[in-house]
Amino acid sequence: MVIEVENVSFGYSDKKILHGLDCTFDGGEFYAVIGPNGSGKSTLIRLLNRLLIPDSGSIQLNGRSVKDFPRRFLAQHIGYVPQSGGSSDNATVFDTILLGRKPHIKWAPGKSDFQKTESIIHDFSLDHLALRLTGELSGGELQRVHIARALVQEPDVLILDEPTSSLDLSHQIDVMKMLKKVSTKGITVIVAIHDLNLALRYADQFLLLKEGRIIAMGDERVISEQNLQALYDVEVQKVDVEGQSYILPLLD
Amino acid sequence: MKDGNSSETGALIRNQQKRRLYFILLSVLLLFVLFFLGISMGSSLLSFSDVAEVLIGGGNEISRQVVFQIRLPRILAAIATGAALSVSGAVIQTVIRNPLGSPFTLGLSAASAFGAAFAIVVLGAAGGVSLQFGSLAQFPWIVTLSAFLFGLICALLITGFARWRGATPEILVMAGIILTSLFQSGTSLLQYISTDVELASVISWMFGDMAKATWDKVTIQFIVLIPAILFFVFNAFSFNALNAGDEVASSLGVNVDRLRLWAVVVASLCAAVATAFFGIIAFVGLVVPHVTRWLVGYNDRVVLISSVIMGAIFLLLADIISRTVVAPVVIPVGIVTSFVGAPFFLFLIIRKVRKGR
Repeated sequence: MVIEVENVSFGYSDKKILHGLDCTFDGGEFYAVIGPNGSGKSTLIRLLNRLLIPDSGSIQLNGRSVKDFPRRFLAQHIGYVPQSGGSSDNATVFDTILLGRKPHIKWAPGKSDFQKTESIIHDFSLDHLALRLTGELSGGELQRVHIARALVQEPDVLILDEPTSSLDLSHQIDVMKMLKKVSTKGITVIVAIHDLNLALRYADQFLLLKEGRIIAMGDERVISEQNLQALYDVEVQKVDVEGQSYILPLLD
Repeated sequence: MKDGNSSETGALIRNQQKRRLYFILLSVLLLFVLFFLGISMGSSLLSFSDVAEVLIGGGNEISRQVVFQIRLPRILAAIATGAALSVSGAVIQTVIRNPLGSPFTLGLSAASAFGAAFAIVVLGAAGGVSLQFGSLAQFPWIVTLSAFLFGLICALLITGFARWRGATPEILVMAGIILTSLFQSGTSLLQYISTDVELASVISWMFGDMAKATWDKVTIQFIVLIPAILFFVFNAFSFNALNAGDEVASSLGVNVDRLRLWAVVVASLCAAVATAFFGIIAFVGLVVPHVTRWLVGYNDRVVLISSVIMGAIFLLLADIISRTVVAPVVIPVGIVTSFVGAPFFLFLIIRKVRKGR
């Protein structure tokens, strides 16, 4: 599924967030949307599945405007993992993940919905937590539950808003590995993310956003020292360690 | 997705489903027992076998009169009212995402009370005295109709508010507080200008009392209640999604604003009918959904179905108590529900505090 963003602007009454963005997300790629706080990352990714509606411009899925699709259809094709919240503390892990079948269900979940949920719970090594309440989980476990729910939706595109922001280092790596695996199966992954090194290690394509405008978009080469300095107003150095690039901020 | 042995989770889930099913079956059984108990108890005591005999078409004339004219409509009305208040409370708690939600949080009881007071004081429905329209005492339905209409007006104002400012939980709660205050002050004003007889009528109307039950009322209640329950149960999975937050529910394909508005309208309708017919019955819509969730967990499909049964059980039990505790005097059931409901709610709060959540 190809998502095309054409001349999209968005703002609230007193503040404009995005200014005439143009970009394309091709199917099966792993995109990292990068930029400082308030640059419009979350806004951009929430526009893609119509959680927000642009003030002007259009967003198209395979050539058709997202406005033309019923909500249910969008949900069958685009999975979303919010930055925080995202489940009721009192729901069990199983019930929370089963919700991902909602776009495919008319009234009540059927046998295949239960089977798919059981299967993904197993794939995500959540079996022992199936009947636990999500309010009792650790941050890492909860993030796995939310990603599992978005995947049991069987989407073509998976959108995540800072999925690593509240996790420790090892869980950050777990999540990014998981997303890489998802993208190799042909699902487009779009993450808003702050950690440049995680993005560099796992994403294929990068979109650099500053003050609601795209500074650059493309493969690893756009993560250049010049672009990052323009993005964050901080001097950085890109170093190469055994074939893998890392970004080091140059501190005073 | 790799093929894995997922039987462990599957077995756990099927076990949980079985337990939920047993719970529902057991509560239906309890409801049946209370149903028979309710019919047999009262100023003239009938045995279970008398009741069964009458229900299958036999029995003597007096027993038949007692069962069909007095007890059965009252019992069925208690079942329908308890179920309606409880299920609408459960739904409203979900859609306004507030554990203190009930049909009355949205201003419904205040609006219905105002409607009744309006009919009694302004339209002269208490009998004899009237300000403008002469006596309407010959139309006993006028108080009920007015109470219902104002309940409906309240629901429409709430939804109007929500359409205007967005159907968020905060907007709904605030609109409910505004309407409650508005209708309460209106009722106070009417009480202030009313005569002694009217004042007594207004206050007597406000006591939720199942003695007002008739076959007509029971029929109307079930006509409203059954489609409402079906609507709630069919949308239960969407309510589950709503519990995960508006944004997640939207991303799962739920039309959040539409669902919330319809849920408020249907829940209000159920509660408005019950309140217009029988007066204010407090605590059922607030406490029973909490007790239900405590017993069955938070899956909305199970909670909604169980709330219907538990609400019916609760009000039926309260009605039996109200008829027997100081027999032959019958206390209005609203007083019993408040008496029983308050300590029960306290117990739930203490339990929650102990769990540290």
